Amino acid sequence: MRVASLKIENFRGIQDGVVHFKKHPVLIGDNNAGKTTLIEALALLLGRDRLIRELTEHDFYGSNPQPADRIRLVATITDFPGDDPDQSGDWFRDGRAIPKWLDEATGVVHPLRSNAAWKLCCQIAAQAYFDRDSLTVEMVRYFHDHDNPIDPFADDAPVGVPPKLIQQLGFFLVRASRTWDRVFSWGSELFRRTVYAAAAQPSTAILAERDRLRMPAQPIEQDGQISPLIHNVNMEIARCISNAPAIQLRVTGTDCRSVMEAVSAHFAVPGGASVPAARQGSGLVSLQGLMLLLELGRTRAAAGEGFLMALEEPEVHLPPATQQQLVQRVQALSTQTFITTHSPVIAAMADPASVLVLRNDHGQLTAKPFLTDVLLPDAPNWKRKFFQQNRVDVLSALLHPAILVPEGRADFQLLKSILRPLMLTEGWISSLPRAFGLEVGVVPTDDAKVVETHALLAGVHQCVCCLVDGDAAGQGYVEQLKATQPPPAAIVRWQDGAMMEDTIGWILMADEPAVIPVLDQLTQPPPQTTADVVTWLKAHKMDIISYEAVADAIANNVACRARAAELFSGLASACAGIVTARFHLDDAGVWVFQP
Amino acid sequence: MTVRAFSGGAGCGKTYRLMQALSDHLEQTPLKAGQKVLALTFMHGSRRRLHERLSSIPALAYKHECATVDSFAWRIVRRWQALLIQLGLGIPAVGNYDQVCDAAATALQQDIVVRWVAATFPIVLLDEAQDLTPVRLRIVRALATRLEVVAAADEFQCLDEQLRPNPACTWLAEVGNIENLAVPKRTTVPALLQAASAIRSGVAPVSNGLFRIDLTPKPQLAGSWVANALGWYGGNKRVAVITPATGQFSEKVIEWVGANTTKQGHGPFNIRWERSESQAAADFLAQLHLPDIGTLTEIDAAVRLCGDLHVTHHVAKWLNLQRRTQGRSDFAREEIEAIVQESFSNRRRRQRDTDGRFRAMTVHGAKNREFDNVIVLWPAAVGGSDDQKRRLLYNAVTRARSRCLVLVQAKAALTQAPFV
Repeated sequence: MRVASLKIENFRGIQDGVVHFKKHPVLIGDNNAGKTTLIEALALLLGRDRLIRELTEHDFYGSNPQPADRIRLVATITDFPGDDPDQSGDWFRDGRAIPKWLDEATGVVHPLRSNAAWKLCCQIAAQAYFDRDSLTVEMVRYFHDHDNPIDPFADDAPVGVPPKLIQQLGFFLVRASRTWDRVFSWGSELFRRTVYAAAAQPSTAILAERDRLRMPAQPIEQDGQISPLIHNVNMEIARCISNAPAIQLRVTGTDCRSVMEAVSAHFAVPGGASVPAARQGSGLVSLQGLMLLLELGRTRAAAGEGFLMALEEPEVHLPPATQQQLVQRVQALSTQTFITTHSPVIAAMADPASVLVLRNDHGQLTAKPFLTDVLLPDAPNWKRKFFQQNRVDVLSALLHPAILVPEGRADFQLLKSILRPLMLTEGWISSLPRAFGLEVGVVPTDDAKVVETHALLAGVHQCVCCLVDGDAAGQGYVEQLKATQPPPAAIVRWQDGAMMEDTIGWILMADEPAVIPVLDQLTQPPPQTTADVVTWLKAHKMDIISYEAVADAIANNVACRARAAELFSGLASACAGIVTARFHLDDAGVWVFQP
Repeated sequence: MTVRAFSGGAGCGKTYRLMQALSDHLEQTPLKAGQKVLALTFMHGSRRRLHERLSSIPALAYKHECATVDSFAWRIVRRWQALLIQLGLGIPAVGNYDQVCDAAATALQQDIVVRWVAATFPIVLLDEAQDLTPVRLRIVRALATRLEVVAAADEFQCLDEQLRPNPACTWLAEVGNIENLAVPKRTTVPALLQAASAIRSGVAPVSNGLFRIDLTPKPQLAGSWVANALGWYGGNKRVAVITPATGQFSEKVIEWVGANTTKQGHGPFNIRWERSESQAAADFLAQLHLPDIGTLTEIDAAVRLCGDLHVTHHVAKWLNLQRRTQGRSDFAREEIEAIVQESFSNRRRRQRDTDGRFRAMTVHGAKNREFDNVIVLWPAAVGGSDDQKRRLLYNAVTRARSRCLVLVQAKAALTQAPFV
C-alpha cells in the first residue's frame, strides 16, 4: 500500500493544499514551504498513537482557532492487492472503509470503477478542533466516505480507523530533530520493535549474562579493600536480627529486564578500543540508527507488511557519499518513502519526476513535480542538460525564494564565479541591503533558452526572474517573456548595448589603477585598461580560469567589493520588485541596469 | 445465495427455528475473523428482543448486530453518499425513512455495495418479514444476492392493508424453501389455541374458560372487569391491555382502573400507557414554550420547566456541544423540536420490556411480544375490512400465554367480524 495523495486544510502554515505522491517522492522547497507540515500531516493520519504529537492552537492555520475551525486532513491510500476489495477484506467492508477508485492521471477519486486503469483506494481522514472550554485539541481519525462536509465533533459519527490497520500500513517517521544515541538499547521502542518483529530476542545470551551477574567470579563485596567494611556491617546486623542476610553487591537488579535495560551499544573499529555510542560522532550513531530502522523495514517487507518511511533531511550528520547510499537503501527497502531535503545533492539523486517542489503562497500549498513527464529520447540538448547535468544547480536554485534565469551559460558562470569569493570575504554579505546569495538562486541556461527555461521553472516556483542582454536579441527575449503566462516576476536587462562582461568592467572601474595591475596574468601582454579585460572576457566565454582571476581581483579590492555589493543587492531588490540606484523600472516594465 | 424461511401462526416458534437454523449454519460455515451476523427487524422493541436471543447463542459469541431495517438503510445511505450522488440520487434526510430505504436499495443494487456488506455480514436474519414494504423488500432482495438469508414470516400477522397480497411472502414463496410450522408452542391452553385458530380461519371464536369475550358498553364496567382480572389473576404476572385503536373508550377504562376500586375490592391499579415515541414527543412539545429564536440559557430553562430529566439532559448536552464545536449561541425552535423528538426516539430504543408489570398498548405496539395475560379492549370504532379486524384481534389474542379476556364496547360489534 502507498499514499497516493494528501489533502491538507488549516494545518499549521497550510490553509489549503493537495499533494500527489509517487512511490519515492523527494520534497524540496524553501523554508516554510511546508515540508515538515506535510510529513507531520502524514504522521497524524497514518502514524501509530505514539508517533502523534499533541496538538495545540499553533497547529491551526492562524494559531487562533474558533470553535467551528477544523484541521482537516485526507489521505488516499492505494496499491491494494489485485485492486480487489475482497482481497483486502480488513480494509473494505461494512464497519471499515468504502472502496473507491482512483484515477491517477487526474487524481480524481470515483465512487464506481468505470475504467479498468483506475485503482482501488481507501481514504482516511483526520479532523481536529480546539475546545475552548477544556483548552485541549481533540483529534479523530476516521474513514473518509465522501467529500460532503461532516463534523465528527458535533453531529456526525464517522467510522474510526482501527489501530490494526494503522499497524498494517507501517508508517515510520524519522524527524529532522533526531536523537539516536539510545537507539541500540532496550530503552528504545524502535529497537524493541525491531527485535520483536525479527523474532531476534537474544534470550540465551541475556539469561547467561543474568546468571553470571548473579554469581560473579569475583564478587565486589569480597574485594580486599571493601570486605572488612562489609564484614563489620554484616556483624552488626547479625546482632540485631537472627538469621540476618549477608550483603552482596551485584551489578544491575540481576533480572532479565535490568540486564536488558543496562545494555549500552559500543562501537569498535578494527584494532581500536570499543567506544560507547554516546561518545561516538553523531554521524556514525545516526547511520546505525537508520540502518536499524531499515532492518525493521526488511522484516516487515519479508512478512508482506507495509513499510512507509518518512525521512526528514537525510543529509543531517552524514557525508554526501553516505547520504546517497542511505537514500538508495531506504528506497529499496520501503513500500514508499517521503524524503524532505535541503540538499540539492539528495534531490538530484532522485528521478526528477519524483522531486516535488513545494510552494506556499499565503497558505495555499502547491506541490509540482520538478519534471512532469518523463524526458523523451528526442528531448533537445538544453532540456537534457537542465534536467540531467545541471540538475544539482537547478535544484539548488529552486531552494531560494527567487530564481534568476540569465540569458546564457556564461552569465551563470560569471555571476557564480564573481559571487563565490565575495561570499567568503568577511563582512561582505552583511554589507548588502539584500543578500543576493541567500535570496536569489541562479540557474544555468543553455543555448540562450531563457524563454524556455523560464517556462519550465514558472510551473514550480512562484518567483522566477530573467536577466537578458541590452542588445537586439535581448530585446526580443523581453518581448517573448512578457507574452508568457505567467510572465516572469521580474525581467532585468543590462543597459543598451551592454552585457554581463560590461558590468564586470563597471565593477573594475571602481578602482582601475589598483585592480588592473593585479590581473597581469590574465592576458599576454597584460591588460592595460578595464576595456582590455572586458574585451578578453567577451572573447573567451566560459573561460573559468579568467573568471576566477577577475573574481579574486574584485574580492580583494575594497572599492570593487562595494560596487559588487551594489550590483548584487540591486539585482536581488529588482527580483523582489524594489527600485535601487542601480536598477530602474522602465516604461516597458523592465528593470534596466544603471551604471 | 440461499434463502430459507419459516412460516406459521403466532407462537409456533418461528423465531426459535430461526435461531436454530442460524446455529446450524454457523456450525457448517463458522464466521471468519471480523464477520458478524446481521439481524434485521422493524421496531426497536423487537430489535432489542432479537438482540437478547442472539446473545444467548454461545456459538455466536456476541458476534451479531441487530438493527431495524430503517437504521441499516440509513447506514448504507450515509456511508455511500458519493455513490448515490454519482447515480444521480439526492441524499434523503435522516428521518425520511421511505426515501432512505429507497436510496439504500438502489445503492445495494450495485454489486460492490452488497459485497461490502457481505464481507462483514455473510448471513442476515430477518424476523417478521411479512411487514416488509416493497421498498424495504428491495433491500432484502439485494442482500440476498450475496448474503445467506434466513427469514421468518406469517402473512396473517401483517397489519398493513397496503401489503395485500404480501410482497415479502410472495417473494419468499418464489425463492425460498419455506418450512411451515404448525404446532403452537407459546401456549398449551386449549381455549386460547381454539380461539386463535378460529379467528385466523374466519370462524367465530368461542368464549370459553381461559378465553372470554364479554360485552362492556361503559368504561366503568370495562374498568371493573379489568381491575378484577388484575386482582384475581394478575398476581406477579405480566399483563398487557391491548386495544386495536386508542380512543376515548380505552383511555377512560385505563383511567377508571387507575382511580377506582371494584366492589370485589380490587384496585386501583396503575396501568402505564406505552405510547409511540412520536406521540410522547408530541405530548411533550405541546407543553414546551420556545421562542422562535432562543439563546442557550432561554432554551435550557424552557425545557427544564417541562420536568423531564431525560429530555432536559439530552437537550442541554446537544446545546453545549453546538456551543463548543460550532460556537453557536442562538437556536431556532425547529432545531430544538427535532432534538426533543430524537431524545424520545433514543429512549424508545433503550426502553426494556420488563419496565412495569401492567401495560396498555396498541395491537401494533404488542406485535412480536408475549405476555402471561392479555386483556383486549375492543372499542365501537375499529376501522378496516373484516379481514383486517380479524388480523387485529388475532395479533392481540395470540400474545397471551395463559389467559385472555376480550371486552367489547359495542353490542353490534359482536355480530360482526371478527366475532362471527
